[in-house]
Amino acid sequence: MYKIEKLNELAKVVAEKRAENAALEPRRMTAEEKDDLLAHFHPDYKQDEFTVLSAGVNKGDKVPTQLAALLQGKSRITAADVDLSAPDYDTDVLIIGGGGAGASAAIEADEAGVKTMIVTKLRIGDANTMMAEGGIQAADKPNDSPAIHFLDAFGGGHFAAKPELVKKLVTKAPEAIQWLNKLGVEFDKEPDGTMVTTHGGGTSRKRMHAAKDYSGAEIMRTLRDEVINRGIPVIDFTAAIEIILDENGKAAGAVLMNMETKELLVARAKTVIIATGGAGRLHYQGFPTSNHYGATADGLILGYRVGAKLLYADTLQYHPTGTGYPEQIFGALVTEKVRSLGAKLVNIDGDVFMHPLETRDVTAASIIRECTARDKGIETNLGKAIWLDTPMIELIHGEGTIEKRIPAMMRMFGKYGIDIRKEPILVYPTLHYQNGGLDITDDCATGVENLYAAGEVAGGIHGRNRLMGNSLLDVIVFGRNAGIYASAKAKESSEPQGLTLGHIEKFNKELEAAGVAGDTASPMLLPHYARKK
Amino acid sequence: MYVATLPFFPLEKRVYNIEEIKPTQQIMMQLYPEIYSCIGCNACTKACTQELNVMQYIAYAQRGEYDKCAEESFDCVMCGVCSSRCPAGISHPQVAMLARRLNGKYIAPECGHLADRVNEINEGIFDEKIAELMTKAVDNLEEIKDMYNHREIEK
Repeated sequence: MYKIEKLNELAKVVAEKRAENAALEPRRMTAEEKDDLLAHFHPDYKQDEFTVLSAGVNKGDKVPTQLAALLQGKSRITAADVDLSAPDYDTDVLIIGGGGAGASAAIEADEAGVKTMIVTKLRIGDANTMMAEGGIQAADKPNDSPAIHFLDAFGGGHFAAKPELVKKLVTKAPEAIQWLNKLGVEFDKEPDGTMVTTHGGGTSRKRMHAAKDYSGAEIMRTLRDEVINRGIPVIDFTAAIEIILDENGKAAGAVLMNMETKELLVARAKTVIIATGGAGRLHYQGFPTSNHYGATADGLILGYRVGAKLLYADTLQYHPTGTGYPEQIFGALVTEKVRSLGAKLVNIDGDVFMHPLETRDVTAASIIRECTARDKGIETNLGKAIWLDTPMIELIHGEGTIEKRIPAMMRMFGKYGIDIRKEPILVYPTLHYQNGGLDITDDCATGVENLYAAGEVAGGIHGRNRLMGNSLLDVIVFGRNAGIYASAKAKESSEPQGLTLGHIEKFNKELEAAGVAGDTASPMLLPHYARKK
Repeated sequence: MYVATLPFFPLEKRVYNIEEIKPTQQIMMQLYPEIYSCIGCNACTKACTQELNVMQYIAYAQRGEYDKCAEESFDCVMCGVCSSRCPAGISHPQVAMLARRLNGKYIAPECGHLADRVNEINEGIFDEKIAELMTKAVDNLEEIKDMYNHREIEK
């Protein structure tokens, strides 16, 4: 039951039309309709929310205003603050970030026999990978193929992705699933071993593999367990705040900061992998976010300052179904799997206004249109929202389906007295994913030698929109890939010489010359939620 | 050195090589022998933030029934509240983690179509088709757009 009585009444309208709505197969939008919808209602198209960069390798490109402030922000240190001649840590491969990509990279680097180390400002596994719910794509069924997966991903990303990255993503996908399964990750399977797969928005084959709706958690906790089993050092609660270069301009380590004592430490490495994830906690355009507390775009800043280029930093993913009510979980993710299982999006009149499995950008824009221009949203104390008719799932697949397939969702709403098996839930788009990031080639190399990037921090894999299940896939495929290439490069490299932080002063001068030098300390490391006075 | 509050309850995690261990009852005895000291007080279950039947999954682990332990413990988020309540010093989430990995790797049925597809990719069966798409993606965007907009979607 909803605490607001009006919502219970409106939910009855949804219940009355449920049987009729469940049987409906809504039309999919045409390419023209989608383009028009996006141009008018998708947040990426709101020009006044972006700032053109005045300094650095992407000078002239527009990025979200909050990100621009950080990219053109002030380093937390000057070169004089640290002694680079006496490193506190010495390793072959330094991995910044303890999420899915960082852990996968660490396992592969360790497998290759090089000295590997992870630093993370939180704890290993305290990452968006852990929060991923719906699933992971891989074209491994007989009616599917990597080529079909390629077309889905490339088209879903508006034909903007780098083809060689999409190729790697789709052709390494089945192997990634196999690798995870051999590490002991459980997947939903039929008794004969056949994978239970469903659709995601924009997929043309049912290739979404899942572990209930704890897919990311199941993957991340297993990777973490493996990292610990292998004895790979994990320095937690320690943030990287600057990349260190050597005398030839190659990446050679990072300056680290203990999050509690603020003590500065130096890590020297032959190669560095940035795997710091996304930026949801920057709350672009005032949106709530589904992301964990560490998603503050740190990796983009670290890379950008030493000259790594950004690609598509102006495209963000607003997940169509963030929680719209209640307040305690406002913006938290309602997995797309809810729609994969048959739940449809319904407006205040109880009408289905779109096909529930259009790509995420189109679905989000459509929900925003329904709540604004068409004024068919449901008013709560938090703004407008749309119904997601979850009881439809049990109407279609039978009683018990929700508890079996999406237990996390049932629990999340159940804690606030809402039984998703019997009542529809309220959703509204939430800031979910950074489509772009550091520009990489298919060996995960950034433009700066010995500096690699993998996972959400990297850009180009998903073009301008990512499909459900391609991010968990991305962190595994490209995380492993980065580990493999960075360790191979470390093996052929000698100890870095002439370590320098000269880039800080150089970048500061560029900012001053452009007249944009600000006081924003960057990278941000943690969002500012505390009351300011 | 510095003094700080622990941000989480410390769990005992034993290390092992997943390739070398086998899903026998002995492995649990070797790695987590303290589970046999369970006094059945059920404090773990009462404390669980995910409302799991923790004591039950420990019972399955004691008996080497890892598939059941994996299923019963699946929704565990490893917060460690159960362990903070345990008079026997059991690290329940780590016991369950081991059971799930054993189940995922050794006990759950193997997926035939997955192994087949990996082999097909390694044999290069899809290379030509992918190469064709790659060329179109660079040289002939209109054609690939048309393919995308008219692709068949599985019901």
